[in-house]
Amino acid sequence: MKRWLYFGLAILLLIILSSTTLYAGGKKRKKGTQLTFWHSMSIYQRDALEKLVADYNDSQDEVYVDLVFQGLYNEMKAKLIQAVQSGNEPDIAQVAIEYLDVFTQGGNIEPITERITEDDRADILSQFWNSVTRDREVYAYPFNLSVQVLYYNKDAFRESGLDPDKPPKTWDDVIVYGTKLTKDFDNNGVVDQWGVLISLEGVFGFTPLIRQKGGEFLNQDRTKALFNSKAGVEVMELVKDLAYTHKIMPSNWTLFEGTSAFLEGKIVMGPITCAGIKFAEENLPWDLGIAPLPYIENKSVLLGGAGLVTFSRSSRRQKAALDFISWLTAKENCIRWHKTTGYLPLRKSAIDSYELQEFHRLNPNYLISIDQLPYARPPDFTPYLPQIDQIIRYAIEDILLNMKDPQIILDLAAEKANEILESEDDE
Amino acid sequence: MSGIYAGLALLLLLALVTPVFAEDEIHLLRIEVEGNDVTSEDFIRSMLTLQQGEVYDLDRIIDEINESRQNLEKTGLFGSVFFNDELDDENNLVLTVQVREKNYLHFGLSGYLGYEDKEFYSVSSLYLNYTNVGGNGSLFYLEVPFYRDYGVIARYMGNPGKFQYTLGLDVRYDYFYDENVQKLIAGLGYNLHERLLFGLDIQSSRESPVQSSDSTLSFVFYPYVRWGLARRYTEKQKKWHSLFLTPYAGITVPNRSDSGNTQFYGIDSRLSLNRDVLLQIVYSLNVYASYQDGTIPNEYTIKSNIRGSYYDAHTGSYRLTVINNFDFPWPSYNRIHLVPFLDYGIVGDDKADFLIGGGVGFHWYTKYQDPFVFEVAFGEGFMINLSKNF
Repeated sequence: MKRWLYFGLAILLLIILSSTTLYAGGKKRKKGTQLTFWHSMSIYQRDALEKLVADYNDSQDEVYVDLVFQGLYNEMKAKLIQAVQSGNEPDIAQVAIEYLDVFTQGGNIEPITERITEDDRADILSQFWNSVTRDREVYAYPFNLSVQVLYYNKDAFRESGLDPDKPPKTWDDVIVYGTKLTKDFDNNGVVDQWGVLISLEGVFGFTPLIRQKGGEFLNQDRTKALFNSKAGVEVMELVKDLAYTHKIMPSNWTLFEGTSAFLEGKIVMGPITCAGIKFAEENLPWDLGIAPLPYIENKSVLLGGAGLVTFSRSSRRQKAALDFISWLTAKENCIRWHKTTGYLPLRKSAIDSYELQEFHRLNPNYLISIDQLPYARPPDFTPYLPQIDQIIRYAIEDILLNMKDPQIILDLAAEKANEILESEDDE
Repeated sequence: MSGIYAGLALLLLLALVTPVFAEDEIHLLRIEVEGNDVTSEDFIRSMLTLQQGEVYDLDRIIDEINESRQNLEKTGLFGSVFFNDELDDENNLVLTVQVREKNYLHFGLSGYLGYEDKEFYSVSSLYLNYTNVGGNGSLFYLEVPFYRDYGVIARYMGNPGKFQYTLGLDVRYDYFYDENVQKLIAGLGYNLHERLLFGLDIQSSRESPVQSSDSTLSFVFYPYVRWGLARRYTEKQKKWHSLFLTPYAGITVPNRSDSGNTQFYGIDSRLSLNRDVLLQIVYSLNVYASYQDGTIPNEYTIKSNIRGSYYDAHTGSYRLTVINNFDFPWPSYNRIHLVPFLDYGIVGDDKADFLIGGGVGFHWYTKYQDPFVFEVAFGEGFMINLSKNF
């Protein structure tokens, strides 16, 4: 009997050894140029990016891309500034479009306008090129770009007698729906389910709403803040009313509290980036609906996200980096990226492909962000946007938490912003 | 003049032979297949409902792509399936099916180590599982028990699709009953629907006690039905369940002529309910119900499956057990899952033993183990469990 044991063991070892040798042979680390790619993708987006980069490394022998997570956009910006100063830049970095100016104005990156192929120029949508273009020069390849959409809990709609396939179109509708959806189930005087939550995340939350009122955040020359205009004040009045007049939105929740409440189903509606759709659909316990961002007077959404910048100095490394970026943003990969994250597909050919049309038929939530592209615009770029963003965050907090007068607070914030913008002008 | 007629005739001929498509129609000129290093192209093409040379409208081609994709994904052989469309110079569609193959070879250590009634017990084996034999999704499983029990266990499951067949061979020494076992299995299954499988397995097994020259030969018939989904296809699917039911009947023929033939029969069932609760945390409830009667060969005895108690030491003619698992993916690295569990139920003959066991499992989804299972369980005793069920 024992001979069967030895026979079995021998066969098993032979199969394992031969298979692992073959497999390991196929996966050996590539020689050739090694490129470092700093990125800011976390959780499931990181998995999706890692898979794409692994595919690239497996697909050829000349270039090996080493993916390094460097924290979220803010942290990445700080690390890049440090790297630029010490001369230790990565070959490729994922730079948020609002931080691109920090590096263009510092002369740390070169335009790549001439290096872009005609195919890419024509196939990638102009809105996306605009987000990485400064003074008619392109400084990055658009990569992970997103717009805000309205997430809503279809189950809560059904329970409140609302049609889950008819989400609110305007902010006035949001008030009507929110009134029906805000509930104190146990009648203890504490709201258990809020109709809506707008986490006005500084520039990104505020700008599209001002544009929807016909206003602008900064003037065209980027020398003056306009967010304290009538449009800006009316937007803040609207947001304040949601909390204090209509009482359909919590007034003092942090972003973390809001996110947790949304997960638990305690918030029914909220504007959130389309880059979270994949995560939300797979992880939320309730039926997720996605609708276009409600509008006030005009439709407008903000285009946010990041582009891929090459910091390589040598022409050989720069070419390798651009070849990789071109591969990463090619039609098939931008379809994969959209499907595995929710970020916008960059190319017309991708949007028109049967692969995506089939995907969108089964996953209509992913189509909403694409439908919003005709009225998507990036923020008003200036190298001082991070500082102004901070100012506006404090102002919004002050208005919402301390119930201050929007006009007074926004005027004060605009004064601070103008000082910064003027100092830019002086330079 | 004759040139004019010739020209007109040529034009007429061309008009007759050149297909004219409406603007919204798509002529599928060619289908190509890429990325299949192991899987056979014929097997992939057999999953496609699209036809080369056909003319489609947009709705229909998207429906067909969807159906073809589902067929391919349900094989479980591919990490991703991608349909790339390109138009040639004459606006004909060339569709390329790009598949990303998974690793088909899994192997590792299986078994358990326990302590119960002041005694240690253990069963250990090496296993190997190859899930794409012949490039058509056929499965080969080989297990080599090397501690306490020893021998070879082999299974082959061929041609998944509408029909599937099973071949199996066991040649092993069973330490608990101190006997040698040789078993042959042959089976045929038919997928009536993607959620409904019917089949019949026939087993013959010879049990030869080491301490005696007596041996028995048993033949068992296992008709079975499986309904529902044993696993989910996408993470968007929040609930899935399955029911497996197999009544069986057997006859045992002793090698001594002074003993008569004996019969036995029984039924095994398993109901599995799974729910994605929140953030990929999955709760699974599995209910096992078994009953048997007659003169049961050792090989077919109902055993406990409550983790934390020695399986071989708790046997009987019926079993009703409930296995509860909570599967928590590690937030920052979802290849690792923590799986606390609670098992309870009864196993016995006239008098049933109530058993309860619980503990926590660590499941690590690696390239070669799907997953590597390490469980610590407390019940009647203590158990470290590495079992990866086939």
